[in-house]
Amino acid sequence: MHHEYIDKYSRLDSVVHKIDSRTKMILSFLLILIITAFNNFYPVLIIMPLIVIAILLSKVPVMFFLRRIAICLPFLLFLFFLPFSKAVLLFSKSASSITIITLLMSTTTFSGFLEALKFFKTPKIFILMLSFFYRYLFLFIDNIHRMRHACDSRCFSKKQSFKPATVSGMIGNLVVRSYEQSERVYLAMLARGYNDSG
Amino acid sequence: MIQVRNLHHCYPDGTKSLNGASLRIKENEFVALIGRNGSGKTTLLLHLNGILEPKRGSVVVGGLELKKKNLGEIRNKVGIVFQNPDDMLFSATVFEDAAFGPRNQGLSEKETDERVKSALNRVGVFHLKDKNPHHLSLGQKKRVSIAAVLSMEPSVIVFDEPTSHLDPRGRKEIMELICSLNCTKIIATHELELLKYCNSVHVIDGGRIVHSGSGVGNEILKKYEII
Repeated sequence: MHHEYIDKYSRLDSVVHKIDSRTKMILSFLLILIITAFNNFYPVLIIMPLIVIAILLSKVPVMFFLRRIAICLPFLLFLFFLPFSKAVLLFSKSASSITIITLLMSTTTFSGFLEALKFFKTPKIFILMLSFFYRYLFLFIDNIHRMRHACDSRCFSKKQSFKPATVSGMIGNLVVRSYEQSERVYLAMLARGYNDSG
Repeated sequence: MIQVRNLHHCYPDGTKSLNGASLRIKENEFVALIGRNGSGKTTLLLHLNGILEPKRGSVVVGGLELKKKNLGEIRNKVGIVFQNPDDMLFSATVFEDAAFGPRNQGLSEKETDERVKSALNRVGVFHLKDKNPHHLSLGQKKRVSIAAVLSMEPSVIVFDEPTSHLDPRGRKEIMELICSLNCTKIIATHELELLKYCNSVHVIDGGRIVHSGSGVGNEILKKYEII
């Protein structure tokens, strides 16, 4: 099955990719803190050109970033409720933060990211949950795809396969299957000596 | 090595899955456990390293009775390779998955590293060590899940349907790999062609072992509706 991975571009070879993941993580969080803490445009204007240079150096396609930034387009709706400059400030802050996080995630492999979290003494359970999330999110998407295929192959039109009863049945099935899978995963972990306090 | 006596088990919904199963397995034996779907194969396997605890009857592994206080030691001795590798492989890389068991055993990073390397080499997937398990083919995932158990160096390995969903070539390769492992091996299967690899066969039906021997004839298979 094909879908986009969070760290899709993380295995490219560039100067930015070579920087230690811990350094990148600290830098990213510091920059986001600075951008969000001040109530004016200066931090964005100073930091973003540097980020753009880093993006160009990283060889990650610019379109990838633009698509990610599109996530914060709804913030532009505030134009209707807030004074113009405030709404633009809100948008630029969120867009910059997303760009920085995207740059961090697309130049660091997910395992590198987890390693860095481990180094900063993040609680073990939190790291385990993140690694589960990364692993099983895609399995979950695969399940949806497979179910859709199986459903579409027995329906003659899109209208039939999008009936509320069909969709709700699928969601129910997915929830039950995921729940059961989580039980089986936990058993498999126990079988390899995992204990809750570990 | 393993002795199961009069084992009973009942799932919370009232389904009786084991109904007085008894079984003896010698050291270094290669055992097949065959039976129909729902005959109690998996339930029996889950008792062998204490995932399920005996409600009635007993399980003894290497002289240790299966009880809460012995759980750690028994799980060190008996490894289970589950049917669906996706249930076992949950880390971001193959290496991390193979290191999960040894780390739980309390080994140092250096020892874990050595164990993982030798286990991955043993099953021929060392070159995939930095890959995300999700990107692997089913055959590769099966190999990695075997490595994930091998790295704990257990003396008994239990395989639940080791060849399910594999193509004929993949089946042969996995079975040859399993044969080459130097420990007590137990496979639960309903694929009769796998019996040729084993030196002892137990047939399970309705939660009881109904036949044990070095082979099994068609009459018995027919009697218990396996074929």
